[in-house]
Amino acid sequence: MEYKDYYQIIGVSRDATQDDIKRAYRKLARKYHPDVSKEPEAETRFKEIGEAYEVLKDPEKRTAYDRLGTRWKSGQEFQPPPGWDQGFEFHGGGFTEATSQFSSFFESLFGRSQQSHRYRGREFNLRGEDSHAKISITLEDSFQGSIRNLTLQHTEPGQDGRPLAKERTLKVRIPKGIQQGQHIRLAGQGSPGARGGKAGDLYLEIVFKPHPLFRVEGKDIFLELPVAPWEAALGATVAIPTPAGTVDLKIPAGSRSGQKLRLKERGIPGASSGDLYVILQIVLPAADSEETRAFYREMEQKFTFNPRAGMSTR
Amino acid sequence: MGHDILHGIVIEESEALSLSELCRICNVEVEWIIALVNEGILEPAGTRPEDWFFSGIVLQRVLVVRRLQRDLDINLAGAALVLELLEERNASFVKTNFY
Repeated sequence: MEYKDYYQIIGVSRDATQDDIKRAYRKLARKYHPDVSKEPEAETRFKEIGEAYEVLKDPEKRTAYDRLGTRWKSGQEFQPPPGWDQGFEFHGGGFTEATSQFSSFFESLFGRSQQSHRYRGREFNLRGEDSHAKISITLEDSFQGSIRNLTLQHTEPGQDGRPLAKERTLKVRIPKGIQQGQHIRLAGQGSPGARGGKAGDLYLEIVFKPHPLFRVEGKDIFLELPVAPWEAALGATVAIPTPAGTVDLKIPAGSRSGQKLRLKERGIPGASSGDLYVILQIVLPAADSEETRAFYREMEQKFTFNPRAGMSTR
Repeated sequence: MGHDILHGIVIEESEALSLSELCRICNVEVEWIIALVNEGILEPAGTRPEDWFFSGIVLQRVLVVRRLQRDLDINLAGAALVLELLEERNASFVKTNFY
């Protein structure tokens, strides 16, 4: 297990006041909030920041953490010294109330977060809570429909009352045409019910893995297609990739860079399928030999061409 | 167990959710959803809360607002504004990148 420098993660010094810590945390939380942030790895960073703040905002946990001393470096192999937390009594039995998953470093110090089993209503048969998880799929999974294995971690109360980490694997059918951000409901796969009550449901939020070629927005798919100047100028038929396989695309003569060609209903399939948009990017051949440079010079002479004609420059 | 293939329902496509269903799925109180409606974040069909029906599409909005409120400690009006800006940003993606 690796030591985590919570002060470094939040970006404050070890003698920072609680106000300093809160301010620094708030700033980072806004920057890396996964719903808002465009930073890469925002979700990982946000979790790290959350974990660091969970410790540093709480004077009890912070004092205990400080007692580990300053000789540890971030990422260093770490074992808590025996009896390190003696003399500390954490409120709530040493378990944090947060529901998110913390690192094993955190758990070795402060215990595992206890999953709250709350039940609603006053019925005798108490239905279990609904739970949520994310599942990342490829664009191709959505195009064809697929079966995905999903491993979920949860905690269950053990015999001595301490929570135990459990893992289970589900095989889930991904319906064809599912879109980013949609939710699949799996009936009865949430938290177990109490006293004979029904189990809750599990909701899976669909997250698309980034695709090397295609960008997906709702039902529509976007592909940037490099074309040669002569293909754009004279027109051409070129083979292009689509999630359903290669197709031939006719590029009209006189096409401009950035121009969009719509391939109807070649987006994500469904009752009303999305479209595939091909965005032309004209790519220039390099002038990297005497012959090619001569050819560019010849173009300069033969064309009466001012690319800045609309700019009224002198 | 564990080897059967589970077939689910895509909430956004196939269901109209009642107020109590929406509360259960998102693990929130009825009063909080009513506040979202009063803020104009959600626009259910039906006149009284007990007759309200929400399109499945709202699920994502509710979850985002809940996370924004919980994680960033912003009030409902602020969360609604962030939500609208986020939706605007996503909608303008195509324009800014591809026109």
